Amino acid sequence: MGLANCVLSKTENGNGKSRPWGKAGGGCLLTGHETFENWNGWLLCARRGASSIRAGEAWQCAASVRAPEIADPKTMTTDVLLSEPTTVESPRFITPSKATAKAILRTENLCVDYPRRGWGQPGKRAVNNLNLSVWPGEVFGFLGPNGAGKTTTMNVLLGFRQPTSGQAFLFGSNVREPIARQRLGYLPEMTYYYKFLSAEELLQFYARIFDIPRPERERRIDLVLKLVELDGVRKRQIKTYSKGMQQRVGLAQALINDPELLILDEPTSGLDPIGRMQVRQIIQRLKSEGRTVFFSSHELGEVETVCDRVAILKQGELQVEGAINSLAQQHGCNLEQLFLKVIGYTPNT
Amino acid sequence: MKNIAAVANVVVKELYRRKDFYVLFVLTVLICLVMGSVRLFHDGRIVRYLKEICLLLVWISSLIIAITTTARQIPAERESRTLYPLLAKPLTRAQLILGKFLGCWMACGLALLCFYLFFGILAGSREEHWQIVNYLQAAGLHWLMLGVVVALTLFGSLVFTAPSSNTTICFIVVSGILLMGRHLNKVAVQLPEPRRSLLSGFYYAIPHLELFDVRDLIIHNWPPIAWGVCGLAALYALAYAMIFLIAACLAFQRRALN
Repeated sequence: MGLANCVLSKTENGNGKSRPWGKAGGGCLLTGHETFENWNGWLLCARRGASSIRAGEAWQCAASVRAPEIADPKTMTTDVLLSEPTTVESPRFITPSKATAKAILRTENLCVDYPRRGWGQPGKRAVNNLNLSVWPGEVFGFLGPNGAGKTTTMNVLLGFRQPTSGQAFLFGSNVREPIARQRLGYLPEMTYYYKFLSAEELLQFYARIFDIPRPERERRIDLVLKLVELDGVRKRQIKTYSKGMQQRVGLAQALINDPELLILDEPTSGLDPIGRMQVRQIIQRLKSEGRTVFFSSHELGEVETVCDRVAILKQGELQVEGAINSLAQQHGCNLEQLFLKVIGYTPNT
Repeated sequence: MKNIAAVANVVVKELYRRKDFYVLFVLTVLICLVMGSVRLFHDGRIVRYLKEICLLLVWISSLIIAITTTARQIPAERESRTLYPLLAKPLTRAQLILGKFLGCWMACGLALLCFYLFFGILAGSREEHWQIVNYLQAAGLHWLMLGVVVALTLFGSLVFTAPSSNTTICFIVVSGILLMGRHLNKVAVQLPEPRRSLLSGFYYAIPHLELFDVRDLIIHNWPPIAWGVCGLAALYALAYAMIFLIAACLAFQRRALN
């Protein structure tokens, strides 16, 4: 490890003024609300409230930097920059790299069995030896026919169900630990949110669970409501919303804690074409912001549009995993044809 | 504690945004006003009977509110699938149960406040004097009793799948305890062994909700109960509520969500 001390500095809304706010010395570094991991010459940043830097993004570190005192990290809301010792006055962004980044989501030989429901009915293995890795900043499509084990895998990742064997990790922490869920957002399939609340009240409720301070809470609510285009109806009770609007409220609640990982279970299920397009646009915007998205869908066209990589499951077993382009080249067909081939569908004609 | 308060806040909002409470309150108010406006037999003592009927209505309404509001909490979360995004956040299952309990209990407290305020004004206007301490004790003990009922119903909602069956069973159990709980030991002594021991054991095991029924304080204008006794009653209610809440938490921990 060549890192002695590093300076992290920020610009105030990009006006060029920088000031140091964090330091890394030799090994792992932790400050207030922030988590940094000094890792093989790379600095991994995970900071709540940051608008331009995401968890797990790897930022190459300068070799040796004098570390000034840490400024108040709570005041940091804008760009985070990594600066070299001689260029503290004119810091520069360093391109993040996935080459050495840690997987943000990982499963190791994951198996989930459902017990038998009655006499004579055998139990079912829903997930069988699943090994998956999702890297920071990528949009990962989790595909498979109904009953393939997608939702079961998500339930394990979210701590709703214990795996029969194997392990699952989020941000390097075992999913059995509640801390693993602090930095993720989850949108379940077809949820009908508290209809007696307005969108604003619903988001207030979820933000309180994340213990987000009041001024930051208001800012986040404004931000996510604008993102999902529900700002104009924020005071209206959810019972007056259309299905598409309800789904967008769901996306808003999944984003309220500024998560670094989003787990979306069939986010466009049951929506009309306009609703689907809106949700797709939101996912693409999240992708452009550098967030990691892990989502299951039956809409293969949509998956092809937004995903970097996909995995196809069949009867709980991973059949194919890889980047969409390379899979298409490798198999000489598009995603839909590949999907049908993998699940063993043969048309009658 | 913040998580528990956040969940409780939503439950209280649900109570005052749904129509159940208003329907029961308006019905109670109408019945009481009609009875209160009639001067039966030109007898001044008739006001005691009116108070008794009105308080019975308040008790029935409060039990309906407590049981129906609590019984639908967890099943509704499950049915509308809001349970999943909720538990995907840093909220434990125990915090959710405690939040639901606190919310339902607070909601019942607010409903009781409305009922007793209305009843106090009505009864006081007929009698032309207000026994504030009696009202405070009757309402306070009533609220403590509802705490036990809410915890019992919450536990029931994790044992019985359908909210309707839980509601029915809870109504039967609570009514049974209120009407017959105090007589079980008298019945037990008349039974042969081993039924005597079984019934005696049952008598000592059940929460004696009838202990919290001090309506007579208001009806007959009796002197207030010693505050120490009220404190003991509070501890008794707390102990039973805790038992049911721990059982509910354990049942919820064991339950698969999907």
